[in-house]
Amino acid sequence: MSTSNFQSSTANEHTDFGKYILRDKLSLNLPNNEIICTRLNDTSFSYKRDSQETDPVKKVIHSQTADFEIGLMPLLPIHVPSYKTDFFFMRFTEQMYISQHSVAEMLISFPIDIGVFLVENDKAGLLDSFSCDMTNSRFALYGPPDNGKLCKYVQIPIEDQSVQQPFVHTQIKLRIANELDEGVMVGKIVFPVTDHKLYYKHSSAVMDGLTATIKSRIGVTVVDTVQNPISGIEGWMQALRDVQVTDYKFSMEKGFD
Amino acid sequence: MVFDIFSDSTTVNILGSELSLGSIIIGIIIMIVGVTIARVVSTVFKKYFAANLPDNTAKSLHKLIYYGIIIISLLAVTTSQGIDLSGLMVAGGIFGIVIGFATQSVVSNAISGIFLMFDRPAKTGDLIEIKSSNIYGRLMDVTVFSTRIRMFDGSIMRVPNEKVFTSEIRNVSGSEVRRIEGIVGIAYKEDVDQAIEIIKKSVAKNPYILREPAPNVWTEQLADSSVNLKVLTWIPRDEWDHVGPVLLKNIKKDIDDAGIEIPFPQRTIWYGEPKKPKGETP
Repeated sequence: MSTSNFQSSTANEHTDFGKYILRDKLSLNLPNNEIICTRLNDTSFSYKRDSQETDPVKKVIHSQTADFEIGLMPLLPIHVPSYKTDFFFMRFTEQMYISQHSVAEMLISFPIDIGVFLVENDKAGLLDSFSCDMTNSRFALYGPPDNGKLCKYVQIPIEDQSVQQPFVHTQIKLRIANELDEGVMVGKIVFPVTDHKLYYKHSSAVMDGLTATIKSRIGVTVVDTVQNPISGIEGWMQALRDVQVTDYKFSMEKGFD
Repeated sequence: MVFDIFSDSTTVNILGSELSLGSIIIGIIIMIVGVTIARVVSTVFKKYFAANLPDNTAKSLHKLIYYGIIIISLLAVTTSQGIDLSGLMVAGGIFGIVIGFATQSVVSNAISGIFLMFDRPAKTGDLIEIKSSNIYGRLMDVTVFSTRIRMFDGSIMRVPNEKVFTSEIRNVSGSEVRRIEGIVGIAYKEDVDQAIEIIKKSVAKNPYILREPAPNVWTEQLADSSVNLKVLTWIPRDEWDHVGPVLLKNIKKDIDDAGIEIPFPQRTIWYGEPKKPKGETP
């Protein structure tokens, strides 16, 4: 994993994901956010994040070691405003028609959160998590209020996938397979995002793919969502995470239009 | 008399059985061992098995195991001493009637407590409201006789189980989301559609308000002084503190910024001219 050293107090204009060693002062610039870490003594440093969208965050961090190693990582988009669910709700701005026995594949821009970790002795502790696009970090309910599932939520434009900003979006390969004998309209996909791993390279991030299979189960049309491990990404590093990798068996049984 | 203790120097008469001091000591040892086993088993259960069970079930099972072993130990003591409990039964029958009248509410609470443990209208940690008692707080524990609820001011309310069992209980933590409602009054001269649009945009700024089901705003009432708009939003169930106190404040601010008037009741008073006596000149 690449490690960069920053000793100057000037802001780094080309912040990348990765690990950084804090000598005296470290500045990281991200969209709408600026992080400044300042060494206080041999065992502690101050952490400050100024945001254009939220109140500033200030913390004093105590570490076991004098070499403060800080990880700036893409995070699964379930941490902001607070961690409440492992599930994610993708609402397509335009409904998709998937004809019978066909497969639709697409690359879509998917939101990410940013995590700042303190790395010591091969263990990483999350110091702060935030989104560079707070206005679109929202919740939604999949299903009726009495027994629905709370999810993080994003609207995804299918027609225009050109909007992809560093530190705001990752790319995910979505595969929708219709095993039914008739075409269906798909307007949303809900899936357990904690099944997925994130990888980063410079300021870009990619996530494991997702396969949604539309099928009939005991007369009810459901969508099975399964994570597809990403392959062929030499040079990309797996991001640190603070949520365990899960292996949910999840089916959308409450509609997908 | 049921107990005739120390009728002679080496034996004790309990329920008609002559017990030696040695056997009494054995009985005490059995009881001590029983209590120790109860504590060890219940502690092991709590440490290794309770974590995998729902909190409420774990607590109930913990009590069941502890008191179950204690009761078994007690029976083992009486059996080992050869005590005939039939005398106790007869005495207990009469005594029970007296005690029954005296402890009616205690027994009622105990039975209600058992029913509550089976009925489980809420589990530990749920936010509940007992409407008849005007109690609203987080359920801490259901014991044999009472239910403990932590109120929002930090105090703990002990409610007798009978009262809880016979009351209507509203469980706010029953689903993952809950709804927050509010009423906003605008002046009659204002454009209702514009006001609804502004309110929708205002509530959408709060990160805890769900996008689906979407916030809903409609005309609730054409009231005396204002057109009342009802605002309904859904939030994650434990996030009331992030939404409830600021929802109407933020709506008012955005409505004010848009120049929409929020009226208040006004009364126009007409002063009548005093009647003047005829022929009087001003």
